Amino acid sequence: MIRFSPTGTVFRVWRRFSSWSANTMPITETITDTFRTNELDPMNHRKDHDGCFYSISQSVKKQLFTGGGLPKEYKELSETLNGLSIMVRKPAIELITYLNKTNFDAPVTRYVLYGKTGSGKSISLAHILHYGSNAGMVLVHVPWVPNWVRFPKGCTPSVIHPNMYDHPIESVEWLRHFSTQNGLLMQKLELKTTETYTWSKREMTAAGSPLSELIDLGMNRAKYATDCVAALLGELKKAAVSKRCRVLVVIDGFNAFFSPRSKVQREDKSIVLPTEFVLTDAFLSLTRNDWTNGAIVVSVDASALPLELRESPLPRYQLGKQGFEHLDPFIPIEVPNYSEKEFHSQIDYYIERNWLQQPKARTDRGRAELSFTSGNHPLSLMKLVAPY
Amino acid sequence: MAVLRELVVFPSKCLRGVRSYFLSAPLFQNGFLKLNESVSKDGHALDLEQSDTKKISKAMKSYMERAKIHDNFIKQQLHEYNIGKRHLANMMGKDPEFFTQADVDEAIRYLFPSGLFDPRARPMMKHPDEIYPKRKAAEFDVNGRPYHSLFYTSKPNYYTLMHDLAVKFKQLDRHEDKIISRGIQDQKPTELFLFGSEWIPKQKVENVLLETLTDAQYENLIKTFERFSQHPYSALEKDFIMQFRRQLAAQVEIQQVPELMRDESGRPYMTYNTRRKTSNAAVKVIGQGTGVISINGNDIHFFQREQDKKQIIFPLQFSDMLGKVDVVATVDGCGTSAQSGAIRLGISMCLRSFVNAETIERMRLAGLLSFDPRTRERKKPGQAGAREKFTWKKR
Repeated sequence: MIRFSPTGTVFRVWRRFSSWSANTMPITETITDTFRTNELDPMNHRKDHDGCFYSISQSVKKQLFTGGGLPKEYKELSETLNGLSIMVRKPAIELITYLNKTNFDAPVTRYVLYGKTGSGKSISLAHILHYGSNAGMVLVHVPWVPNWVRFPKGCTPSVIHPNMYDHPIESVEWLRHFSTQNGLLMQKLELKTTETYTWSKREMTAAGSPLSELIDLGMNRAKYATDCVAALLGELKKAAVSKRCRVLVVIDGFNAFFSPRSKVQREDKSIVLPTEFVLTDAFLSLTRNDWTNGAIVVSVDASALPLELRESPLPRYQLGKQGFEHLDPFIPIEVPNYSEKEFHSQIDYYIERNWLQQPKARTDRGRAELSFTSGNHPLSLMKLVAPY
Repeated sequence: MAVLRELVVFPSKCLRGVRSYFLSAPLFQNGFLKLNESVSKDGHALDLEQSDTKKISKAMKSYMERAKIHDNFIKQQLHEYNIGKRHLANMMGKDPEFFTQADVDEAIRYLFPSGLFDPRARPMMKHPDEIYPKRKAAEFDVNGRPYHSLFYTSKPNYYTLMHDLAVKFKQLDRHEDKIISRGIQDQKPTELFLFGSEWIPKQKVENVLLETLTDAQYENLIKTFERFSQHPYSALEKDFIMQFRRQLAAQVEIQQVPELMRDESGRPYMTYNTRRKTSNAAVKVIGQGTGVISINGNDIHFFQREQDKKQIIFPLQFSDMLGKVDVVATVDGCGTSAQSGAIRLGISMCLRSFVNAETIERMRLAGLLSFDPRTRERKKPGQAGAREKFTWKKR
């Protein structure tokens, strides 16, 4: 109830005796201005930037996340709040530190992000994706593997590989996603195929032709798209080993490759396992550590598995025996709930964007309540402050 | 000369009641309301014939006539009361000189036994002062000039009270200014704690002021009082404010609050086991915490519904202990509402040991410390459910 004048003199707040407005107490807001960082290059993100937001320009967003990569709610919110900003969090900083110090002559290291659903794994992956793009690495990014397992838009038996299944539409989409993410870089690198691929009697891709030709063929001929993806991944692996490019593999929902069932059925109604997809085969081959000059970052999440397999968020449980043995050895990185600093930073961001408008929610008491009811869980907090 | 002497003596001798009213203004001294409720009890020996009637205003004259009739009436009643008392004493075989009102009540109860429920409907014999309402004494002198500056408001006592409130409010403001100007900002203002009492109703206010009030006037008075009591330093005027408040239904004595216990690391803690419907909860509240909560090993997301989370947070928020204590709870049985309700009671009960008596009282009034005895009602034979009937069809 104490007011300060510009000269520093203290006044009592004028209290009206004759009106009800005396009851309206002034509400004090607390916003710190340290929740943003001007360091927009993820390559320079250090521990000092922990809990700070950095903004991603529209062009980069368009390049990296057009074909997916941001969770739907997050993407919509970023559009509402007029600009994509990502919080620099501990797991991403840890990863960036590792990647900066990696010896790329050694076999590729696998990193596994794990944590509860909604704790920010996908956002951390988006952050790493931006890092890879700035570091000049070729990005091999799968936005959300369960899309291929759970709701494939059309799964057909493979012509080339017996007893295997193709994803023609998904493969075309993925190739498009790959070329949007790496189009400029691929032009600069001028990578060439190392072997001849025969698709049919008339169609073939000769050795020494640019990789873009392979990609274009896949995008135009959906029938061969899946095999094009497999061929492309193999070529990238070879190119990386021969040090013509550096590859960053980012896969979200990696454990879906080892899911015990999928929505795809054979003619006799038996279920096709995800391990019987050509795409799975291609990406599992990419995530083996039999190549160099690259890095592999995957995330495992409970929501990528069927309902009954969501008890624990830990990698061993999520990957299962098969998946664990496939990835072993890897570096697990936990994505935890918000720390106190991160929580306040997030609230400051919402206040600054005028997303959190309820005056009482902006006070310390309001923050304490939000922190308690959301349990500092990022997704819960996002839903809690949303106006629906 | 004789007439003149009479005139000089007259006011003090004959109109003591009127005089005393005049002397008691301003009404409120030392923060206490001093109300002039005296009818000139000693009886005005209003021998107006002796004085110069021309100098007395018509208003005074008519007042004196009315007062005389009233006084005579009261005198008669008092006389009858005293006679009746003596009769009763004789009937009961007691000494009439030392027969008190309590003895009268006892005698009436014995002689006129009544089965009527309401005590006010039973036979009684009371002092006339208790039975007949008090009247205002004259508010003007022999010339018809009012004593009170607010006489022409027609409700001088009411407006004096309002005026007084405004003056006191300004005094408190000045006090606050003084404290601020001396730079004693850390001295916490002492706002008045008004829980457990309410403003006295209109009827009571009218009895105190001896004036009838409109609803709007009463509302205005209460609003003003409320604003006054919300002043940060209103506790300084506690006695004044409390005159216009009455205690709510007898407050339950605060139960014995258990002493805090200490664990191996020296942190204070308190436990409480409780239930709601058929769910059982064991709650442990640990002091010096950071607001960590664990329910059956999970965090707050053990409960998925917003409502259940709010139940858990409510006692902590209400007692301002959010973020200061940790909670460990185990709960089983029944549904989520019952489970969260049980944990809420457990947390509230544990928190009693961490907060002061005032907060405990506030928590009690908010219903946080009472057990919810509601349970599922059984299904009845011949009915579809506890209350629901089968669909009735004529044929």
